Amino acid sequence: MKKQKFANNLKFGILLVGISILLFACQKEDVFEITPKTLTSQKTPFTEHTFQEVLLEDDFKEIIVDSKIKKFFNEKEQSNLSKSNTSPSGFTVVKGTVNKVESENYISYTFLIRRIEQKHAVFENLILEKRKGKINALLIKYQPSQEYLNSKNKSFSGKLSIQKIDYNSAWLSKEISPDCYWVETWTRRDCTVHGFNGIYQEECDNYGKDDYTYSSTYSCTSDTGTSFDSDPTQTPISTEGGGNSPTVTTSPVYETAESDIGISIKRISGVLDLTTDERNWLSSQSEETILFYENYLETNLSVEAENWVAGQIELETLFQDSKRNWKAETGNIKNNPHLKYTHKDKEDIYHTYYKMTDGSQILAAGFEKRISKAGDIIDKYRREADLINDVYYYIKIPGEKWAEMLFDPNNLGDQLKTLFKLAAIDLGTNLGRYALPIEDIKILIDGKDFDGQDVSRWKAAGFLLLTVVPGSKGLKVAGKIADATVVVIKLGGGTFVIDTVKYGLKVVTDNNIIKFLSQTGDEIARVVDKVMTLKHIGFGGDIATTINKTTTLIGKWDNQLEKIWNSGLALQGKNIGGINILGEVTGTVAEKWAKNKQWLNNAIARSDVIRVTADPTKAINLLFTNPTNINFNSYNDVVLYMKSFSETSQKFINLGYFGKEIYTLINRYYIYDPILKIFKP
Amino acid sequence: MIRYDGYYIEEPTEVYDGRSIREKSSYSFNAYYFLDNKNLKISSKHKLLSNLLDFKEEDFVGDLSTKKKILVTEKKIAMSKSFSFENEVVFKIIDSKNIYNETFKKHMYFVSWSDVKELKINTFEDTLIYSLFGPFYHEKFKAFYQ
Repeated sequence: MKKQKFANNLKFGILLVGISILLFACQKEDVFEITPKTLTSQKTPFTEHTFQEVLLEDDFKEIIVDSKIKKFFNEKEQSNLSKSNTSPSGFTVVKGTVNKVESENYISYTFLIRRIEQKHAVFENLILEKRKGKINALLIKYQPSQEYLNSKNKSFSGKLSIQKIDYNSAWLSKEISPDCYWVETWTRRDCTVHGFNGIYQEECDNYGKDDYTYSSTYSCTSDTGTSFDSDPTQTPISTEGGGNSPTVTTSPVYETAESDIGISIKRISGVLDLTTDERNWLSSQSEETILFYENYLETNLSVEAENWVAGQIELETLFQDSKRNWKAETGNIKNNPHLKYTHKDKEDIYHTYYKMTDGSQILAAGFEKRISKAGDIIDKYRREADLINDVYYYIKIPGEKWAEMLFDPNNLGDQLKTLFKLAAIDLGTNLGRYALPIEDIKILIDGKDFDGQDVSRWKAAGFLLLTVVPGSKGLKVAGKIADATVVVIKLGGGTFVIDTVKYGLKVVTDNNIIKFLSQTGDEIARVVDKVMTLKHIGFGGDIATTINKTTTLIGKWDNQLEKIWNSGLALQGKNIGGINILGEVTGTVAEKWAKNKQWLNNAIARSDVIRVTADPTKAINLLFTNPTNINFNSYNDVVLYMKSFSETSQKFINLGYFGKEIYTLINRYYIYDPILKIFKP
Repeated sequence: MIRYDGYYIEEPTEVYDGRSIREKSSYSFNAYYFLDNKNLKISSKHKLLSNLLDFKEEDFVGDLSTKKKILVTEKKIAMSKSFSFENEVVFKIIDSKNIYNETFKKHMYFVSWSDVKELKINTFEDTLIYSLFGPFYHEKFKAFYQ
C-alpha cells in the first residue's frame, strides 16, 4: 500500500517537473538570441548570384542532379517561377538572387521561395547545402521583427522555423537527417559613403566598405521528414543545447519588390531625412496615416509642409511609450489651473513630457521643433519677457495632429493676436496648426481653416467663429455662424473670446456688424469697427469700448455690473479694446475691498478708461450707512466730502465699494466727465 | 434727560452684499455717544453676525468716530450740519434709556460703559447688541453694500 502511494507521489512529481519544463520551454518560444558581429576582414561570408549563374555551377549541378528537386530548377518551366507541384500547398522557387555560402567542406545555396498563400512580412528560403560531401535540404521560414523589416541593413531578428526536406539523390548520399541545427543568418550592410538611403549607418564599423553581421540561433524540427507537399510546421526556437548539431549557414533572401506603402515610407523618409527611430515609427503606422503624410507633402510642396510633417513624426516618435519613463505626478503647466497633468517625464533639462487630465499630451522643449513657424513669434515673446528658461510647447489633443501651443498666462488677448498673426503668415500655404488653452478647452486652429473666403470675411469683420472638435475639448474654426460655439472678436487693439453656449448667447452678423443676442432675441451688444457697444439702460446709457484701451466699469453691482458680468462680454483685468469688470470677489468686507482696491489701482496704472454705471453724485450709491444724513447736491460736494477724511476714518468705513472707488479716484486726482460718465486722470 | 455715561445704539440695518458668494447678509450698527450737551460722536460697525462685538470706548477715539455738534433741548436733540450738503437729523428723547431717531425712524437704546465692562462674552449671542436686537429675524431696515 505504501509502495503504491510512493509510486503515485513519484508520478505526480514527475508530472509537475514535466509541466514546469514545458512551461519553461513555452516561455522561451519567442526568444531569439541575436548575436551581432562585425567582420572586419576582407573575407565575405556569402556571395550573391543570379539564378542563371547558379545553374551553371558545378557544385550546384552536383547537388541537384538526379534528385527529386531537380525539376524545380528547370529554367524552361515558366518565365519566372518554378512550381513544386500542382498542390495548392506547394511553393515556387523565385529565379532571382541566390546567396551562396562557401567555406571549407561546406557549401550552401539559398533561394527565395513563394507559396500561393504567403503571409505579409513572412518569407521563406530553400537552402541546399553540401557538408563534407553529404547533401541536405531545408526550408527556413522567417518571421522578421519590425526592426529587421524596416532596415534589412541589420542582422536578422525575429522568429524562424526550420523544416527538413525529403531530399532524394540517386547517387549522392543523403546526410543523416538531424532534428536540430544551429542556424547562422548573415546580412550584408551597406556602409558606403552615402549609406543606406543616404543615411549614415551608425552601427557600421567598416565605414565606406561593405560590412557583414550575423544572427545565430538554435532551432529544431518537429518532424523526422517532410516532403515538399507538406505544410511546414513552425517549431519553437531554443537557444540551448546544440553541442553536436550541424550549423546551417545562410543569408536570408527576401522579397525585393516593395509594396506601395513601403515605397511611400522610403519616399517620406528620404524627403524629410528621418532618423532611424522616426522611420521605424512611420513604418509601424497604418496605411492611412502614411498616405496622409505623403499626400500632405505632395499637395503642399513646400519647406513648411516638410517641416510640419517632420515635426509630427518627430513628436510622435518622442512620445512613444517605449521611450518615456512616465511617473505619476500631478501639477499645472505654467500654473494654469486648466492645464493639469497626471504624468510627467523630465527627460533632460530641455525636454519635459506631460500627460494631461483631458488626454492631451504636451511636450515642453527648450528648442524649437520644426512643426511650424511659431518660433519666430515665441522668440519675440522670449526676448520681450526676458524669459531665458522659457520653452516651446507642443500639444496633441486626442484624435488630432500635433500643434504648436501658444500661451501667455497673463493675457489671452495677446495669445490670440499671435495666433491670428501666425495664421496670416501661413495663409499662403494653408499650413500650421496652433492651439491655445482657454479655460478647460483648447482652441485648435489648422492653417487649412484660414483659407479663401472665410479668412477674408473674418479679416473684414474682425471675428472668428469656432466650434467644438467632436470627441475632444478642442475648438476649430467653424464654417458658418450657426456652427459657432465660441466667437473670437478682434476689438480695437485686442481680441475677445466668448463661449456663446456657456453664456447662452446667439451671434448674428449683419454686413460688418456682429450682434450678440439673448436667447429671447434681444440685442445685448454689438461690434462695429472693432468697437463693442453694450446695451445698458442704467446710468449713462450704452457702454462703448475704446480702441487700444481697456474700459473699466465701476458702479453698483446688483442688476447692473452683475448683469454685464454674467453676459460673458466682460473680463476681469486688462482687456484692451474690451471691458473690465471686477467679478465676484471673496473674503471679508475688508479683504474684498483690498482686492477691489488693487484691481482699481491696476486700472489706474494702465490708464484705463473708467466708466461709471451709477451716478457718483448720489449719496445712496456711495454710502451704505448714512447717519449724518448726507445728500450731495453736486459732484463738487462729493469731492469736498471725499477729501475730508482718511481711509482709516469712520466716514470711509461708511462707504460702499463704489463709494470707496470714487474716494480713491478723487484722491488720485481723477476728474469726472459728467457728459461721457467717465473718470479721467 | 439723556445719559453721557455710555452710548445709545440704534436699530441695525441688514446689509446685503451682492458680491459676496456665501455670506451675503451682514449688519450695520450705529452707536451715538453724547459727550455732553454740545458734542456727539457716532461710531459704526459693519459685521457678520458671527463676528459681532459690542461697542467699547475705544471705538469712539479719534477718526474711528464721526464728531458732530448737537443742540439738546428737553425733548429733542438736533444734530448740526458739518457740510452744506448734510440735512438735519433730529432725535426725540423718550426717556433716559430710549431715544428715537426721527430722521431715520429708528429707536436707540442706552448701553452704559459699566454694562459693557461687566459683560462676559463667549459668543455673539452673549453681546448686549444681541440681547437688544437678537435674534435678527426682522428685516426692518435694509441696505445694499455695493
